[in-house]
Amino acid sequence: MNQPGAAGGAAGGPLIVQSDQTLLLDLDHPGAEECRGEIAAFAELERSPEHVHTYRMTPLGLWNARAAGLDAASVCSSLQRWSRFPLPESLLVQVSETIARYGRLVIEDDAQHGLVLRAGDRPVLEEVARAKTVAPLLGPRIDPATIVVYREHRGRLKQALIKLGWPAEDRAGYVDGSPHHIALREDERFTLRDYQRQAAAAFVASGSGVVVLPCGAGKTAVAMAAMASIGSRTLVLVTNTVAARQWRAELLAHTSLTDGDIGEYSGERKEIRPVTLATYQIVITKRGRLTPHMDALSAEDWGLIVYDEVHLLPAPVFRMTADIQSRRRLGLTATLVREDGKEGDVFSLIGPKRFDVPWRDVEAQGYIAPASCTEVRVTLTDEERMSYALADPPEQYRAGATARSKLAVVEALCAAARAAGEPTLVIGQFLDQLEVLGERLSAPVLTGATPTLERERLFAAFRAGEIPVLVVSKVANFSIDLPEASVAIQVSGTFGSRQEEAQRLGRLLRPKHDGRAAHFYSVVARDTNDQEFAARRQRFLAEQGYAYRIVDAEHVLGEPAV
Amino acid sequence: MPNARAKATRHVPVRSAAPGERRGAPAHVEDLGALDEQRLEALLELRPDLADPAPPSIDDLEVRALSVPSVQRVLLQADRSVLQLAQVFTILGEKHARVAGVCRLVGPGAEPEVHRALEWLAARQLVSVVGDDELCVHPALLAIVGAGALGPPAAQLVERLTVGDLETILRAVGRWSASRRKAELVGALVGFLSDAAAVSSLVDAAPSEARALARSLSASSRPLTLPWPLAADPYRRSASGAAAWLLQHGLVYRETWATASMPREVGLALRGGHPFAPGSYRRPVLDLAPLADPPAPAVEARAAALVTVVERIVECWGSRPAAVLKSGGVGVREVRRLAADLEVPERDAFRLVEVAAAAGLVVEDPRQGMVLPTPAADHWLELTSADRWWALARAWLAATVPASLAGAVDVRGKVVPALAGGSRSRAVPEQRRTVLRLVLELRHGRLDAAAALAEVATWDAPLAWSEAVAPPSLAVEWTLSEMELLGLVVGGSPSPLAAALLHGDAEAARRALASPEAEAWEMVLQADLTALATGRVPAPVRAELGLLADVESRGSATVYRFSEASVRRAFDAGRTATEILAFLATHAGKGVPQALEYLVGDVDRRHGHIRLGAAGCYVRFDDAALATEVHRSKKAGKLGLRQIAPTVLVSDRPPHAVLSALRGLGYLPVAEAEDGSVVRTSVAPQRAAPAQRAPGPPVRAGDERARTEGGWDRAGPPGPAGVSPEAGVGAGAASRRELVARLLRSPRGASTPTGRRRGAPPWPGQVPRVEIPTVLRRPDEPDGVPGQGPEALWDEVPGASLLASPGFGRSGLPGASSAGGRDDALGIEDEDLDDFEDLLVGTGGGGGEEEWHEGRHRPSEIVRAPDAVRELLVLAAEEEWLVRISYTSGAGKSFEATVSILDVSGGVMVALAAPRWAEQKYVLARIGWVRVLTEAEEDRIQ
Repeated sequence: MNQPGAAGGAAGGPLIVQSDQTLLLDLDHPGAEECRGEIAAFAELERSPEHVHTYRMTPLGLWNARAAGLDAASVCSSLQRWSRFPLPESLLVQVSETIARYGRLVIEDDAQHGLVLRAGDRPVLEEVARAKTVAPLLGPRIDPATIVVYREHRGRLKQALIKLGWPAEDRAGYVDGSPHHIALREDERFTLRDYQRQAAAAFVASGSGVVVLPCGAGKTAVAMAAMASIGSRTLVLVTNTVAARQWRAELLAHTSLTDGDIGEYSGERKEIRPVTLATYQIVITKRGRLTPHMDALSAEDWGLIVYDEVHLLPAPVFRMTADIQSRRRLGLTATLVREDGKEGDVFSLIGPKRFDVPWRDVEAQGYIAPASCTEVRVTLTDEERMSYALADPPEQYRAGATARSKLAVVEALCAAARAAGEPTLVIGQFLDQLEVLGERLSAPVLTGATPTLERERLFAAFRAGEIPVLVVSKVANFSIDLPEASVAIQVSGTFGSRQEEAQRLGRLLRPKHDGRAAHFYSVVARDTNDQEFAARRQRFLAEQGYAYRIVDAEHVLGEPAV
Repeated sequence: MPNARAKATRHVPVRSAAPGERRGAPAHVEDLGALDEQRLEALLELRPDLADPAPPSIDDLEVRALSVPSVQRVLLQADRSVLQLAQVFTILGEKHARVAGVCRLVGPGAEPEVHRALEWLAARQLVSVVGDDELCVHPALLAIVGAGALGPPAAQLVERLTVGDLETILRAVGRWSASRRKAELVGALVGFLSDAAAVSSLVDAAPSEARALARSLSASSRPLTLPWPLAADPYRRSASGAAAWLLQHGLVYRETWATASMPREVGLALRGGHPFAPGSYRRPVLDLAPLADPPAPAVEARAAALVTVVERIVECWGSRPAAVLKSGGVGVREVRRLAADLEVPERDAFRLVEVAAAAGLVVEDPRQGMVLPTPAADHWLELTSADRWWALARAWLAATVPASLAGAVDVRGKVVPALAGGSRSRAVPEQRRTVLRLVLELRHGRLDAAAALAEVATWDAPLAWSEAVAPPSLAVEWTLSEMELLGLVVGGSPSPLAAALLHGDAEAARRALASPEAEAWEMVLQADLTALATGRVPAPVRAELGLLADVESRGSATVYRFSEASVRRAFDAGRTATEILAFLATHAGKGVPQALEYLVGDVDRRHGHIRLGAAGCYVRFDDAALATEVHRSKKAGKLGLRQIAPTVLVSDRPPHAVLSALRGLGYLPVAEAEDGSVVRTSVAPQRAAPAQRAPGPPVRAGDERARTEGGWDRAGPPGPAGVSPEAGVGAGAASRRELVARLLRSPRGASTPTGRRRGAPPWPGQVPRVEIPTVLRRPDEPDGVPGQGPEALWDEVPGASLLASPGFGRSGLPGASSAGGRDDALGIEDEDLDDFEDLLVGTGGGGGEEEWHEGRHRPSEIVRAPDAVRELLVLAAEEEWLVRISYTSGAGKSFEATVSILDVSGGVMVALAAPRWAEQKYVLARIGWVRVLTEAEEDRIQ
């Protein structure tokens, strides 16, 4: 806006619509928040850095919107209303056409013929019925606009149709499952937040779908509210045993469920109870060609299946999900982005996204402590550089990431955190590095080899403030609950995956009693591929809108950083 | 009946509808000198071609105004009523017609139209009104327009008949004359034919078949084809049939051996006395409701989109030129790729390419066979957005090929390539103007109205549409689509830009495009290392941003992403960290994020820590003192040694040359192999190589080039060959060297060798010759100082191997000798190496030279063996001999061709094929046989 006479288009709307169907939202525009409310319904937030947020309109997103009752006219009028520049005609046409593809095919329960695929638009039905991927899933034709669908193919048909670009609207309804009364116990310590209530309501109204909430925003509470509304036997699929135990604790604390109502189905125990917590691992375990546990669980009369961390759902679970399309399904996740690109399967098998709040918004509401991210670049010693240079390519990352020069920086950061009374997590990938860190920081080291009981004991101690610093390995990244960690220091990590970042930040973003800011440090070896991975991490975090700074190690070693 | 044309020409100072009242009109239409200043000015405005180039005198102007092409050009703008009037003049057959007669002939109630058309013609000095009623018609007008599809005048046809035939006809029509004088007979027959009533009644009484034939002949301009017996004897009594009846009754006359025509008078009588369909002189009325004016932002957006997308074409083809099809033009594959890059529909991409080419922004470079941006494009990029649009729109309006022809499907079902050229016509811009005018008049230009608009458009300018490549309704549809693309029409409604373009009013266009909001721009930098540029970002800022970051998404805004690679690119281009940060800080409206600053600093810290350069070989020493000694030694100075580390020197000379030079200086160097081991040179007794090659030069530049494609030379050939065993061998070497040195010092023109054609090449596109000294200088010497260096160095190695050494006279960087055959630097070099060899040969020298010379005789045998074919082709390429080859194409078609070889490498021969000398590629494996043409044959071809 420094240009003379540059109005910056502020006179126009806050939205810039690009030809590749991305939407750029100018946050400094007075209408930005209102605009965000409208476009979030049909476009997915891709990046949310400080000035301009990027949303993307994808066919999936538009169909999600259509599924939620939004029509093409309102999408186009939103775009036109908020757009700063005149919109290209072709874009509006394309959006309308994409939206119009949803619901031309409907899967319904026909009183006489059972499950049928029906089309208002016969050419579309002809097109899909002839497709190689769809034809085997269909039964005999009843009339020109109706074809029988084999019940067991309901999920696979939806999968196939979405690949053809003709997503079917599933109106076939759900079986209620065996009833089981579940009530929420709300008190001064636990009440549902508004957005949790909205999310649960949005889900219950539709019967299946995904709720997207950031880590720490209380996804478990949304699931509990949904379970209470549906009131039937529930299967909860979680990532690991620790997560299962935490679910159990939460359920016992905040619902009417008793210890006897909740079963754990894991490597250690095989209990099937009205509410069963099963790990992904056990579900996909094979005995020869069979998946006995998956079969055993599938045979139960569940009224609701909850998928925790839906973005990590292993592919075999999709297969199982495809077979149980008549059960209500609730997906919970912090991000719909899957590293394997199976977002379409989540859409067709678990359901469209039903609720979404941008992370920053949750944070602004005060439920999540704001975090600042700092990357500390450590210059390696000549000796370390040489050993990095000589390492074989597969070992190079390890050589850079575990450089001993990092230790001093971690120590300095921890000392500063301790001085400020901040509970600190040190996260790393390589066990020997973690051991050394544990020794130097005189902190307990928590790895995959740590027994569950010991793990829980350490977590409890950390929560209670008895242990100021905890060194954790990769396993601690998933579904653990460390509410008091306000400083996290990452010393090494797996290849900068986006999900991992989301998890690591999630550890920090738990609500704090006193609203203190959380700090995330990543210690990076300069001029190694550790730095390349850090660059990806930087991009992800900056895109999420976090303040991201890069400092040199000298800066940290020279003065207190916290 | 208001006409758009009448509106457009209202400023012509001819107010009165009655021609008789006009003042200042010359008696003769040709007499421009009699016009007053004002009328002359008006004339030049209406017929701009008369003033371009400025005629030296009024006489020249008159001559020009009389010329048929000039009249043709002005008639492209004439509407149907004007052309019909002109045809009436022809029908009347008089240079001096009378207004009343003309009106009578056109039809009842046509006076207003006739007067309007007369006014149009008069304003353009195609008709002049003499006195009260008499008209003087421009002779060229009569020559151009024809007689409304009526035949020749009766007198012209009748005169050819014999007296006997005349009598036969007169008898048949019941008008015989006692006289047997031909003139009287002719007069009688013409008199009959001019009597419309008599002719009509004759036809009415004719047998039905003859009547039908007569009526159909009168309506068309097609002559009657006579059947054989009639053609032989048209007036044979026994002949029967409709054609015979018409002939015998004087209604048609044989014109050529086998065709007959109906006299103009007869045709006119059968048309009811009026040459044209009633009412056809009136302009059709369209029932199209005017559309609301488009909103200004939409117009601006459309114009801005056009400019942006054409910029992208320049950008895309600047970095990766589009290949030209063998048959000419840019094919659908290239355009499809461009369309994907530009994110526009394929059809629009074709149109945009045509518009860009019309504006001279991209052009085919015949030497490269590529379409790429012109220098004019750089100038265009610097204009304001409005001016850029104006340049494109003007070019579109004036283009002589429809932009939509490219990308259309032709009658053979093939997509017409872009920039294919094809037939150009002056009528095409006129068509565009007609549509533009019409759309402005009706305030309606929706695509679905194309057919209706075409009806009026063809009435408005029949001649302009008569030679359209597509049916008028399609051509109008094309034009309307193009107008939408340019923003002249938005949503079917004409924008202010349309009027501005039609009237050539650049200021109006600028006003329409340059609202203050439209010129605003903004650049925002964000912590995720993206930059967002919205609005009309000035070209320099855009260019700098494009250097610093990569474009991630386009549209109303451009999103850039900074990365280490993109920032490094800016450093490579010579920017410093301070400059980059200053640029960002100046233009970023919301500050520079710390992460970006850090990135720039980090790249700055690491940039240039590794350096590399090209060298012919390296010289490694065990101790720095020795290295310094050699480096500082004056004698070794000729080797161009450079010290790159305390114990390492490099030279641009090949290893064997340096090795011998150092040995000559008394050092004891050894050659090092790639793995660092010492190369041992055994002194094995020499043996003859197995005979493979006809007598000829041992190592040729072409072979060497094939081995070291890309210009990188590894430090000499591996193994013992690195130390050239034949160094210093050759009895004539010394004298040859001397000669070369002498010749290089002498002026270029004096040393042209004889015996080979060195004149202008017979085909276009060959590069000009470069003076030898420039090319054969050492790379580290400044330009134009050929000299001591090479002379001295040649002491070490024989000329031939010197020539073969790659890296000599080349840039030495990979990619420097990219594809492009003889046109690139490499090609020039090779040619000059040929020159150089010529010089060597010219001296005659000792025994070695004799052999060498023999090798240059043209082989006469036909060669079939694959190896021999290749060898002969390589030889022919070097000697520039034309060869005859037999070839089987990929499609299995066998043919023979005479070719001039440009390059033989990698199993492919690139050659220019006679007779057009078009560049072709031939797969060596498909060549059946090769024969070198004799000099006599070559001379014949050339």
